[in-house]
Amino acid sequence: MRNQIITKEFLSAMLKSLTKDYRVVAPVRNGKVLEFMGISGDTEIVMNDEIPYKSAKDCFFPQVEKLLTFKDGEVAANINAEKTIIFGMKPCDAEALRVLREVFLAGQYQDPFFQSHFENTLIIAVGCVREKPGCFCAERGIDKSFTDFCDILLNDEGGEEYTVVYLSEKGMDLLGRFEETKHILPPPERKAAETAPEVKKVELNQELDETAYFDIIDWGKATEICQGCGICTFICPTCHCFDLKDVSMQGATDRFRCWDSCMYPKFTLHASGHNPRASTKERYRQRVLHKYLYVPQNFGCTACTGCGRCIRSCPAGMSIRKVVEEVMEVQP
Amino acid sequence: MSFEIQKEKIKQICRELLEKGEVDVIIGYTAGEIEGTRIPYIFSKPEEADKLEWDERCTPNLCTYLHGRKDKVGIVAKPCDVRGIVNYLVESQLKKDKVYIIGVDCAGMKDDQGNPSPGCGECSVKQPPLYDMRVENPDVTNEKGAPPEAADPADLMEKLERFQNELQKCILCYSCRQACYGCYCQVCFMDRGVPNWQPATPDLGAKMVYHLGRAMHLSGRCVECGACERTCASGVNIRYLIKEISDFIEKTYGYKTGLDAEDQPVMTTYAFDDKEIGFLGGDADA
Amino acid sequence: MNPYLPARAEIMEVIQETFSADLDVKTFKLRFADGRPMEFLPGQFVEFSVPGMGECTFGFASSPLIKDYFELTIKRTGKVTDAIHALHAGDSVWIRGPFGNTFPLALMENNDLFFVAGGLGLAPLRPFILYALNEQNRKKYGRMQMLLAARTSKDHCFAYDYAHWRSVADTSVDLTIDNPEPDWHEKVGFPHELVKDMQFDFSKMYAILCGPPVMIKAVQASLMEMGLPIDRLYTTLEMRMTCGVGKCGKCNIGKQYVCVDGPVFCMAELANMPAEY
Repeated sequence: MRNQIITKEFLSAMLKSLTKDYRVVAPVRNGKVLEFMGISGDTEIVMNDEIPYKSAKDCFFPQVEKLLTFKDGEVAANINAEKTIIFGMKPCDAEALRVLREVFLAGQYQDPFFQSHFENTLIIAVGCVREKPGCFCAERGIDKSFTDFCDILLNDEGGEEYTVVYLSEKGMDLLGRFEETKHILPPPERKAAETAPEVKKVELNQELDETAYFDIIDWGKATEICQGCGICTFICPTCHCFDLKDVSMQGATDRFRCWDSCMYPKFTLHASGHNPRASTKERYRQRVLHKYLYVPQNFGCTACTGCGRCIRSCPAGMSIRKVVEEVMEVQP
Repeated sequence: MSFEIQKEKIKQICRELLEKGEVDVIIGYTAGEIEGTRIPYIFSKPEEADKLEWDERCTPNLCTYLHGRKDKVGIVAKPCDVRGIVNYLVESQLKKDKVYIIGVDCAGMKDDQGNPSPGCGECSVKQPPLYDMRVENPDVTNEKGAPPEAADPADLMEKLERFQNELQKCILCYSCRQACYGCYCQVCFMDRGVPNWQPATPDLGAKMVYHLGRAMHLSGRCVECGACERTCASGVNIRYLIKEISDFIEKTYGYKTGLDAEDQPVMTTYAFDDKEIGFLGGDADA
Repeated sequence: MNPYLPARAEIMEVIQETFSADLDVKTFKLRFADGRPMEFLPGQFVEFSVPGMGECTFGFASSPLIKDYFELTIKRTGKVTDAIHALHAGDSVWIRGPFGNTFPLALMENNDLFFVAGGLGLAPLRPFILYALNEQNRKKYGRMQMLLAARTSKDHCFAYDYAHWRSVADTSVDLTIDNPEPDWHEKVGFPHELVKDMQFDFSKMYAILCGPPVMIKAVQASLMEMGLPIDRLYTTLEMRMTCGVGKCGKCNIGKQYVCVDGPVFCMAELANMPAEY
């Protein structure tokens, strides 16, 4: 086991040396918060057990991304994702990326912009040592110290060291570039731990028709304190709704893709003024059912990994976990 | 210690209000899922009052939940929440007979690290300016607290730099607007299609348009509850900009928001002798 | 294939459809600048861009049998449609598509067809009507009835088509407006009332409805009360859309995405979906 270990000091130096060839993204202190940011040689990378307040989805599905440029009667797509290494995604974040991959790449149409980011990114995930307030990954069936949806997986050994395994060829190649890590092996047949039987999973019954959930609880009461701010959707690792916006300058027009939120009234507003989801009650219900019912029905995976960000960030203390549990109590 | 005594009083008052049918619902605080947090709690049965909480973590401004309600509401209100209610009355957003104010003396709120919550450190209104029932705390007086850690620089370019440095962190999620009791416009100027104030990219310009626009719309209306800053997931010091405007209003018009329900809204009141220095420049004393 | 990448198209002709002061509908006849054909089926839609103003979703309004041009019928309602209405023949726009599903043309063969349209609701039905009225196809379908409603006599879209449609055998076109007007010799009243006086053979008929939601609901109720089974009623839904390819989340209703699973739905399907449209 000893030779599967690297020090945090070495890892930090390794990541910094990789900035020559890659954009390297890692958790960095930014004012009051910890955030995934691009690093340079003198950045201090945070290697403790904290979880960045925003997820790393920005690296695959940026908050704002230029998709197209119209100029002189021509249009061009800007598909040129930088080669990127992300350090510090937790298993919940990596598993969330699995959901995004399904949404953007499965089905009739593939999203070439997401695909380019996805293919050009190498993920160094780090297992969590302990659950944070609001976390419920175990209840979502996710092992906080293991995921195979990454290239290299580290686990904090409680001091200045990480144990290291690789889970893909990309990961093996990267480790092979360094004398100190080229002997590292893939995990010995390791799979994510089965959720302990005493942990009650937070999930909805997929067999039921979606209309069955529409009045299953008093959604108005359940969402009474929600302020509709949408911060839950911005910091969520699986939320993926977007809008397209044009900006014209000096004879050219750029078309940007921007994150949108189902919690905003404008999201479903028709040009006629009619709004199919007119109040917070309908919008919050859509957020819950989309994550726990519609995505599972369409893609076979629940769009919530229990990272707890929405619970920690909510100014009113709303908890998607509590709401789903309330539904579970009464679902047939 | 005082918090405990106040909490028992609050529970008793709320229980009685519901039992006597004087209100339809109570808005107060209860324990959140994350240990130590206090979240808004809306209930209508007397026995539900047992779950009420009152301590130094009751940070959310509850007055925002009054807006648009049709029933008669009893509200557990800190002085800043009361100032919001008073301003709703001033702006005709609420009728006094629709609200029963349980005004609670507030020794100041703390964040999860034990530091003063945004706004609480320099708060000067610690006793509710309006109430139907007051829950006192003899240790609390309306003395002004410590001044904000960093005063705004006098130099205009330095001011701009500080402002821009702060706004770099903003991700334009508009949570501060949603959390604000005063942002009750049906359609925010940032959400309008025509004219379109919101550019596609959340660059510094867009952030400045939003935060300056919001600050202007809150001039003479901010009750310094700190909800905007507490909500901000990016840790932007939103409040200081609006504080500048509030100080200007106080200095120029001698008006402090949310203290007197008989006031007229300061920025929509016309006076012949108003030099309008906010728009035209100059000095209040000149 | 990049589903977000549009192709340049040229406006060949702009046709003013309505003449009321408060309703402005125009039909835009378009062809791709590079001469490629537009292959689509009745019920499908495109994403239409005016760079700088944005993108909007519009259903095809022309015959799917014509490949070298296509028509879109557009009501002026907002920022993008204002910009579109300001365009003229010869101007360039950007089109991506076709997207979405289609009316079940084969399933409906050997049956009578009853089209009910309210105002602009005729536009997405017109490709199907023109397809079925085509000489090669007309014999595949039984009797064709159309009930076309508009608020006033100035608001009937594609009025230039009606004479031809009426000339085809076993085909009828009923026009109606909300209130009586001098010199109006067609029907007056709402479609859900008028259908009650019409004769149908419900054992071999499909009804295809499009128009304001309130009209669709009322006509559906009338026809079902008269005996038409719910699985013989079809409509096409309108939802706010951005991507058109099932990613952006806007047109999501239950597990369906209107842009890929619709916009054409059987009323029996809609009955099992949340009514969030």
